[in-house]
Amino acid sequence: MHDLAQQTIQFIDLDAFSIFFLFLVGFIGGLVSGFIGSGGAFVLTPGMMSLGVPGTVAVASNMCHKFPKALVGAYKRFKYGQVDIKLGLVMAASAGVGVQVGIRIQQWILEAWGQAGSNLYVSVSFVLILVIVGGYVFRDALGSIRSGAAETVSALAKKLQAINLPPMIYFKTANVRISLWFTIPVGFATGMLAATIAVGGFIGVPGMIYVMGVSSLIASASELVIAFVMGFGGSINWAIHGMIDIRLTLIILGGSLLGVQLGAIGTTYVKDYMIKFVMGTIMLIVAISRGLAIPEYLRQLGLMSISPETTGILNKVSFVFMCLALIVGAVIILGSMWQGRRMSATMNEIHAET
Amino acid sequence: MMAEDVLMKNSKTQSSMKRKILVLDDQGSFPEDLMEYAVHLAERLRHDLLVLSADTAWEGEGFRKRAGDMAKAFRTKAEANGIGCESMVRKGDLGAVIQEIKEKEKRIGFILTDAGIDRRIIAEHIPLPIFSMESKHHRNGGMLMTKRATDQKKKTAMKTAGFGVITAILYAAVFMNADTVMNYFTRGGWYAALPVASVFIFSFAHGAFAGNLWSLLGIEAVQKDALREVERKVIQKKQKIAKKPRAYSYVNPFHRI
Repeated sequence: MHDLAQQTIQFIDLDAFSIFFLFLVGFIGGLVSGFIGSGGAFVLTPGMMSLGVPGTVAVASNMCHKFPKALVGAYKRFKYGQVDIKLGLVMAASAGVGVQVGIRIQQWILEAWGQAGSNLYVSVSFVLILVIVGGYVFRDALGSIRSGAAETVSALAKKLQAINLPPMIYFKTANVRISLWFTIPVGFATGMLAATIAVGGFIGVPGMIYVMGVSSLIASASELVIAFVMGFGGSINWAIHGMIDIRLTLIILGGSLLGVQLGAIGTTYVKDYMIKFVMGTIMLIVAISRGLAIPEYLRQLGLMSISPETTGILNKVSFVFMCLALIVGAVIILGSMWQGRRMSATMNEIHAET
Repeated sequence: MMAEDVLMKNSKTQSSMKRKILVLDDQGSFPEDLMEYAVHLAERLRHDLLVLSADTAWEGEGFRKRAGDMAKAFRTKAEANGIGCESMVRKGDLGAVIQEIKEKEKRIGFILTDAGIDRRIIAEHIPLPIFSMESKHHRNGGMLMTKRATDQKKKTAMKTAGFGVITAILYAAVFMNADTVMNYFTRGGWYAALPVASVFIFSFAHGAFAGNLWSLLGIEAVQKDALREVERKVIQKKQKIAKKPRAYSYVNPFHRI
């Protein structure tokens, strides 16, 4: 079976452009995921596919770069006291189940409606979830920016924390005591989303913040633990099937390890709400991008009459928006880091004068 | 731990039972103005001086010579001001040196150090107030501070270069043998261990390189607590200024109605 896989899978030849492209996207993706806990994968997979890499190899190679990146990021942020390992592991356990269920649902849809139906399902869930969750996160972040107030625990999280449903778990770093039963749905949804759109963090981090009452700094840092566990398991699975193109993985890793550390350092410069702001912004732009891809799938299913030329243009615009999401995120992160650095320098000067 | 022990006292110290100021240094030298300050402070507070030079870098002879010169300068100044002065040179870990002095010497009132020394290590071993003095504008002090910073930077640069070379070799090894590597790494089954293990190795080497590179470029995490501390002080100061007492008069509008 493995030989068969090898014969059918074409591994691409690398040229200077694709190496540069992968390195750069790796760096920016790393920067974003070091900061908000996940991200980058949504550009890397389609990006690799546009270079001619087969879908499965793109997904596999991407995943294989994700877990060492998450490991390095988690280690860095652990040193800053932002990682709750227990929280990450508990979430990862239920996310593992979520991934399995997500894959089953995908397979079932694939059988029922074919490739286009499956793509439509992925895109629609992308748009729905990203608009709802991303919009909420973005609004919350804007509110915090305007009022300048410190982060508060959401009303829902307070209510859930007050319910004494054994077994209760205490997460030390996050300083949250909550019933295990309320962590499971969050982890499960993270896994399901990871299996569907490859970025579980878009549900995991907001879930930890708004449902469980974890601060955004610790939520985004602990998400890296979840990403590591899930990426590691997934990579082993892909490697057993011989789908990982180690060259692609290593090039992306070359950029992303630089980026992830910079992103992790960045979290120490900024106010808590910046994490939410970056996350919300990226989610909304990605939602637009995926929304633009929907007409193509509708056409394939015969539900919409639209010329292939139009959908071709839409697809290109969609990819541009994806890249834009990452770039905007990176610019906000670097900009706020720059601001934070200047502020701390001024503070030190004032201190020296007094 | 302790390889040598040089103890020198001046004549006044022999009979003195006064409390002492521990002057602690780990460079074998102490800026001139800080020396003056220490001596005058001791005089005002009627304390004796105990100058302890800790050779934490195991420098040996060179350190001892420098520390000896410094102690001599201290003793001369102390004698001129009529206070007792003892000096010691110890070799070894800062914590151990402090531990030893704590057991030996019971009459220490507080500790004076130059600002570069790690106060946390001292505080861990000896429950006394520690005062650090910064002599930024002074030639000697300036040199000391710069030297420390340069040493640290040199170390980071070495590490960056080291891990950089390792990373480059690893990358070259894979890409120069790309065909062989791809052949084995994609066989699947137990060969799955190959890609997984190699990304771990790469992430270790390259991760260490990247981390050191950022610190070499001066991009390092801010200690939030330190920032907040400064912020708090600034705010306090502002509040203090704002709370200036002000004269006011109160007129009762219902008076004589």
